[in-house]
Amino acid sequence: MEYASDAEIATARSQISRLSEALNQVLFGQEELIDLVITGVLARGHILLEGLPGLGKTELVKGLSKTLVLETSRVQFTPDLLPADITGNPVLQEVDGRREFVFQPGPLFANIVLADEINRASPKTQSALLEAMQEGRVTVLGKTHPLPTPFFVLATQNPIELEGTYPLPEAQLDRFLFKLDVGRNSVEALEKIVNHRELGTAPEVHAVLGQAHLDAVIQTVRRVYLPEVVANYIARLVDATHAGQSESSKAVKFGASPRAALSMASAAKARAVMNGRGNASFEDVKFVALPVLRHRIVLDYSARVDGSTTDSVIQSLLAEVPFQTTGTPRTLTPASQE
Amino acid sequence: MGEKDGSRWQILASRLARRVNLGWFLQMFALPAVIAAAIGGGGILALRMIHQPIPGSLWILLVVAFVGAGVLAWRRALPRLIDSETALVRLEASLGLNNALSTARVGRGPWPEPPEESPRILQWNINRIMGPILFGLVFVLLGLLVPVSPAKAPTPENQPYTWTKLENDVEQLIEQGTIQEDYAEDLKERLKELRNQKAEEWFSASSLEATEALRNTHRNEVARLERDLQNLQQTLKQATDPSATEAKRHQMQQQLSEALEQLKNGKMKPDQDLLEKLNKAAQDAMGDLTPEEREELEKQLRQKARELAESLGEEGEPGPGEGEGEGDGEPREGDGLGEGDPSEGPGSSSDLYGENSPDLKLKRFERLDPEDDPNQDPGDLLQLEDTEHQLDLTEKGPTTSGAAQSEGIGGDRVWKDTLDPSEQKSLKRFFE
Repeated sequence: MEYASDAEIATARSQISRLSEALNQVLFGQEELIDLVITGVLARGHILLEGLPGLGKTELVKGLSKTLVLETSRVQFTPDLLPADITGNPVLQEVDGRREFVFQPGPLFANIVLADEINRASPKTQSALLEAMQEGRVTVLGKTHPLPTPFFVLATQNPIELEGTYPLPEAQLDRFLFKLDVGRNSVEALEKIVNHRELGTAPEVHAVLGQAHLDAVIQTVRRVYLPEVVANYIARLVDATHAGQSESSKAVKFGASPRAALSMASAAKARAVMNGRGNASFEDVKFVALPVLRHRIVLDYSARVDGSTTDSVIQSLLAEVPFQTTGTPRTLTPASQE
Repeated sequence: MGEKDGSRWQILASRLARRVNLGWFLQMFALPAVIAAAIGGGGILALRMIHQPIPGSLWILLVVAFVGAGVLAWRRALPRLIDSETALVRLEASLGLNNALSTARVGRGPWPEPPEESPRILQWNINRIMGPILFGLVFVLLGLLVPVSPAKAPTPENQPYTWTKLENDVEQLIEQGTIQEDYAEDLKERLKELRNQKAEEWFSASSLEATEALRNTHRNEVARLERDLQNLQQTLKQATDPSATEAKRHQMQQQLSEALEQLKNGKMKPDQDLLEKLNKAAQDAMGDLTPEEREELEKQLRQKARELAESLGEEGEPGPGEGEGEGDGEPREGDGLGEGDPSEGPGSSSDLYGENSPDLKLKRFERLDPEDDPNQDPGDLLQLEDTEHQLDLTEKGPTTSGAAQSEGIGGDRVWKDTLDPSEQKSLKRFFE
């Protein structure tokens, strides 16, 4: 495989910077969230955004769709939403004097699908997303229809008001590259929002990256060099999420899947390009580990008793798993410890 | 520039690898080295305790043990040793280089600019390194310096005094030319047998008894030889007396021959030179001896007898002509217990029995005051008295049979005097 050149990396970085600047004009005080969303997009992954209402989740996705100049659709998930409502329906039409079923594409047939409050839809409807998210296609009445590329699902869900909702099954969750927690804004960010926004008025966003450019950046990301030692670190980190494989995973019921390792590698590469590097690094892996793993680890009852969360377990894993398998003898100490 | 940077980074990585590997070796070496030092120190201490000199081979053995510990440590450290590639990764991870070194090493990117000085990523943990060294040193020094009690050591200085005394006496007699060496060898052989016992048994009762018997035998031999020499001297004097008759002189010469024979047959023989002279004197029937030679021979006999007497006298017994005589004080009675052999108990006092026996207070009755013992219980013996039985001494005349004679002084008095009124009533009621 031909690795990305320095020039390609530099070009991609400048374009990503413009995209990041544009999104920072949409959402104030959420730089890290925006970075992670861009990382997820460049890694060709789907993103699940979780946060309280009003924090800008939907606004961020809308802003992303506008800046990327991609076809966007939005689906408000409700309990009575049916699979056909999102995949599309065969409609009986008269063609050349004959009446036949013609497939009418649903909202999934877009580059960016905003699945708002995804956990309010029934499992049946949620499952309709599985094939679309993993394979980029939908099958209706035995006929498969490819989805446009690139295809991103950016779903949101509300961690409160869980009555009448359907938590996403593990298989569904595993399809998401990232699960991002949208936190509350700082005082400075709130002040900026008050000063620069009007209630009911959408922020003005300009397109910064066309589809061709986005494809080029994504291709650059794919050709980033992943050193063996970094791949080894990813493998050990994912393996350590399983119960019994590490000290930190005592309270883990189910660990992360190989898809998590792939996701982490892709995200690390995207992160490397964002930082203008042609190689992924340990630091990139550590940065993306939390959003990649937090929805892929299932804790057992003891974690609830101890008050552990998936985030705390992952942080503990990152501290426990060293970059290298070779340890340090006790006759030596890290110089920084003194 | 790139190659130069790469070389520089490789040098730094090699240095780091060497440091890490040495660290692993030292960590693995610590325990075996401490164990080797402890065993070595224990060995030195054990040798000192049995009062053996520390052989040079022990030091060589100690060095070999340390080298063996080093080899063992290296083998144990081997799976943990790192190469320069791994060190390069550690370097980039520690310096936050985002794996730029690993990327550059495979030609996927440029080498970053190396630092001017070697980065201090790992530093020596002095406590971990010095701890085992100090421990090992302490073990060896303890083995060398811990004071060992000499009392337990079987050194010649600690053997029974009589052994050395006997040896010295015999050696002195040989040096003076008083006795022959045959006797000394025999005595030394017997002393050697005693010494060959375990050191703990040197002062046992049996050993001391054997020593005492040997000492007495030796003293008897010395005394016998002294006596024989004195007799010889007297006989020689009488045999060569010019005023003596021929018969007397002949008798004396015969006595001289017999005494000489007895002298030869004794266990302790006089000096060979003296013996030959005496032999010659006896064979020549004194006729060939000049007065000077005879006088010289008598002088020698006297001297040897005196030396033997001195040998006996050194142990405190009176020698000939000294320390004897009558005391002029009154004999004093001893008032202590007798002293005996330490292994046989003190024995009885010489005046324990007989008229002068001490008053052991065996027949005195002492009254005990009940208040002396606040913890007394009912039934405890509180008092002893020297008293007589109360006998009814009333004279009784002849009485006829069948008549009851009771003065009512027995049972009546008991219940009337000792029972309280309520008890008396109960008793009366019972018998009514």
